[in-house]
Amino acid sequence: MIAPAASQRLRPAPAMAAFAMLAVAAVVSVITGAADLPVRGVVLEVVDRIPLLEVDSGFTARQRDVLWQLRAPRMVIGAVVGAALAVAGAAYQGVFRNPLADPYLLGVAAGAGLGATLAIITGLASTPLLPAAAFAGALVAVIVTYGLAKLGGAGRTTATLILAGVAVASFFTALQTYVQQTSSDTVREVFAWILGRLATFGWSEVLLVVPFVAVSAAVIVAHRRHLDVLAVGEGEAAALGLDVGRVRVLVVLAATLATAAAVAVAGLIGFVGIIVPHAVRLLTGASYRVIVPLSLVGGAAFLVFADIAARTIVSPAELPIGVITAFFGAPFFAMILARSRGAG
Amino acid sequence: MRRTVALLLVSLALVATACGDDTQPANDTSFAGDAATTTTAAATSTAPPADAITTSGVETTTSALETTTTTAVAAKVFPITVGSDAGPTTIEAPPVRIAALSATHVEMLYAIGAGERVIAVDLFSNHPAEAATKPALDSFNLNVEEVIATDPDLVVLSFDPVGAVEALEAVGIPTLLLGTATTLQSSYDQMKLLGSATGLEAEATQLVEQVAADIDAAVAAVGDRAAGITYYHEADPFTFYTPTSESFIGQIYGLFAMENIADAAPDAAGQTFPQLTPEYIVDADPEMIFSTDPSGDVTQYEQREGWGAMQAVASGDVYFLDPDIASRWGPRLADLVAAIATALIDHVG
Amino acid sequence: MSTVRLHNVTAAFGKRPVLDDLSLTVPSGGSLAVIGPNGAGKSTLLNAIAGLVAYHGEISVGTTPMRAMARSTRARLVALVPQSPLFPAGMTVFDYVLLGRTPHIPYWRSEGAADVAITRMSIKALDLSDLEDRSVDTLSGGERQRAVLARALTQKPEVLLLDEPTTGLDLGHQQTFLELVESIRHERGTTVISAIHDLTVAARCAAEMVLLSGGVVAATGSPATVITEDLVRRHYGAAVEVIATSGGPVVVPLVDQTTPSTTEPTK
Repeated sequence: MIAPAASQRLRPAPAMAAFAMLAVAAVVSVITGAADLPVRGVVLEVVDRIPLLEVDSGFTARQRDVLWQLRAPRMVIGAVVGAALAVAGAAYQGVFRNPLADPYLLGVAAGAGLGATLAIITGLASTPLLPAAAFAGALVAVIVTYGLAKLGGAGRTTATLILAGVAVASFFTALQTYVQQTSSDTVREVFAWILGRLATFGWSEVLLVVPFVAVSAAVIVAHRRHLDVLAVGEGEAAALGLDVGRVRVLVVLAATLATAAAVAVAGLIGFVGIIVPHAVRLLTGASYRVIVPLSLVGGAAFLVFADIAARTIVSPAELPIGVITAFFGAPFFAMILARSRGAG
Repeated sequence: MRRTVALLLVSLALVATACGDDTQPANDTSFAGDAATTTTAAATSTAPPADAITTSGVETTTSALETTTTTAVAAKVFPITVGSDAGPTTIEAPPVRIAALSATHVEMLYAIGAGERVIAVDLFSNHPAEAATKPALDSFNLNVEEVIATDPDLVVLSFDPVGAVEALEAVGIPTLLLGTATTLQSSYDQMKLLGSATGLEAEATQLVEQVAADIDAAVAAVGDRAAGITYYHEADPFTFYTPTSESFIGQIYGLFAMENIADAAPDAAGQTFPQLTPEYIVDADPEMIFSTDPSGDVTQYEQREGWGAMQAVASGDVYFLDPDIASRWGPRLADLVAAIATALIDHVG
Repeated sequence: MSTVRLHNVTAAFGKRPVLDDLSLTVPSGGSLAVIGPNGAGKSTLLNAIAGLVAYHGEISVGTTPMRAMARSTRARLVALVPQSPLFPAGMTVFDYVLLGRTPHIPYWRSEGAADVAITRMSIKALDLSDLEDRSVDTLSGGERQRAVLARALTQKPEVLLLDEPTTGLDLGHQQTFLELVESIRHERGTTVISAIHDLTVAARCAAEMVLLSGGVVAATGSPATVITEDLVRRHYGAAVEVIATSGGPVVVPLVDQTTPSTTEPTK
């Protein structure tokens, strides 16, 4: 009799399912759009890109540009941003032992937004200082949120951290809105930012964001075992030999960096960090060894799907992607809040 | 529970795949060739455009400004590089499929004779009447692929919150970003720029001269009778953000040497749109009030607390401007100036 | 080898000292029961040995002082079964017990086959094999205590610290648990220090006993010498009768029966 694999290690079936979803999302994303690109042509174009293979897709130069300069980078950005936000959410949930923790709800995203905005209005938009500014803002926000929550004292519940996060988020978003409005006639840009936008990216943005997200994701994935140890509380984790302080600092830094990179490039997109890790939990159980990697892939798939919806639901116009994620996220949030009520 | 959710996700994925599979067009006609083949000079016309600017009831007098006689410009050699707010753009050949997603620039294009080349407009493009019949796109929630789907060879935008310029350039579509005019001259410059971009430089120059002449005429008709008259231009009846004389429309009023009450507002220093309070406005008691409310209903002013006692309200000096004309900076600027002139003449008697 | 020595240990929370210049020794492989009234410092003592609270003085296991030890080294040496362990929802028993291998797994690595095997063995030793895949928060009290003990064993410690391990367990489970601990101590030569609430049970489960009161050692020795009516009255403020039996002293609380019951019907 084969002993059951009791340890919640990442099994091949869920991993393959997640990648399959991402593949489907990616394919649908590049064949969807107002500019008419026939499916057959798209397939041939992709095949043509495979080294050593040469086929003629029959596309005009413009069609090729739409595919490779608009749709493909947009899909990749969506995947990278989705992965970043989802894995950051899982990481925050593990470190703060709070099922409601999410980059948006903790105010981290708003902090990143303020940092990025300040960088933009001081003329540093195209430099590496933009993500650095976003990161600085995000870091300040998470520290303030955590500090505020600690002031809650003995009455602390899971909701206290989120309340602190909402307060911080509101404050930073208000500051950011103010800054944007005083700098020039950019009211529309403010709204475009606040609800998130995956619109119209070239590969330069992709290259800007990918290294940060890759490093952060690597750090968080490397700490997935440690997040499981933290689940029994800091005292017991320390007694088990875990360097709790070091783990928390590294994981929070990584999650904050991932969030900052995502926000710097795509604006405020909320709830991804809640929806995806919890969906994974529902399907595969509570071990971070499974949740972290699956959130990475699942988050990518989720945001690409959300972007497809944003582009097609109110066609010919385009919805900000934050609307889609909030639409699905809010009920999710309510459900988790109800379940975790009273949990300390 | 787990299985249900899993099934749900799988079916979602399948549905998404199904939705993405477009019907393949039998004939791929949507991208009908990249290069325009029309010759450059053929499109130029020497007669003034059909929807010429009509000046309302004001004598036309020749202006004193220097009129550079525009001889028919020899066929301009394309490709040319034009600069807009988004930087320089190279236009290979005179555009014949222009997506002008800005009401002001639609008016400009029609006025220089490029109207039939406009293939897409934005939701607010209602002038001239033919423009309103063209396919309209949402310029606020811009969907770049929708723009591309109209197969334009030139795109004109007046604002770009989503980075559409970058995207369109990436696909090889020249795009001009022409933001809200800050001075009368910048408005003229934009008209000339569109002229260069479309190979209709002569027409554009002529248009600019015509508009300038009409404006001068309207101003001259009033003479110095308007000098020093205080006015309040209501841009926002809810929050009272008001243009000062430094703003674009303020400069228009400035042509008549009128005085804007917003200039002296407490926080107005350095701002073109300070927020006033109703108390301040009542206190300043301007001689004339200009409103862009399309209803033209004066009673709303009479009903406001304390406003009934203002001289402008009491003596019927609340004037209504067409909101479209007052918010755009295209060829109908002359109409705006003329409307203000008419109001002034009515006021001073 | 795994002798536990405390020398002039003082631990304080703010200004108030909880452990006051405490010194004691537990021989390698021995068992010590720590008793005392609430607030005497029993938990703090165990936590100090586990390195969870700051202290002045010296604590050593064998010849090594604990203070200088790296956290993971300490966790390989000392395992703590806390008073109120946290049982995360959704964590399987297997994963919970596997947590005990944390100090043995290098920081950047995952568990290996050896870790899995040791975990399996601990689970088997504590009769939890059928519950491997169950979520820990669905276990009964007795099963939970066994799971925590299994986790502690997986650490392969030389010193086992038990903080009120039988709280909330019924008699049967209490007995089973304590017998398990004893057999582990015999098999592996682990030094066991337990903080126990119930004096009679404490007397049964250790050869040596220490009475902590007000952060200092009030009495030390065999259970019979430490548990006396006088000491109990003095430090617990309770009147009891101590009955000596062959197995050790039995403590019986004395309830005053002379005052009439106020609930008797007057009719």
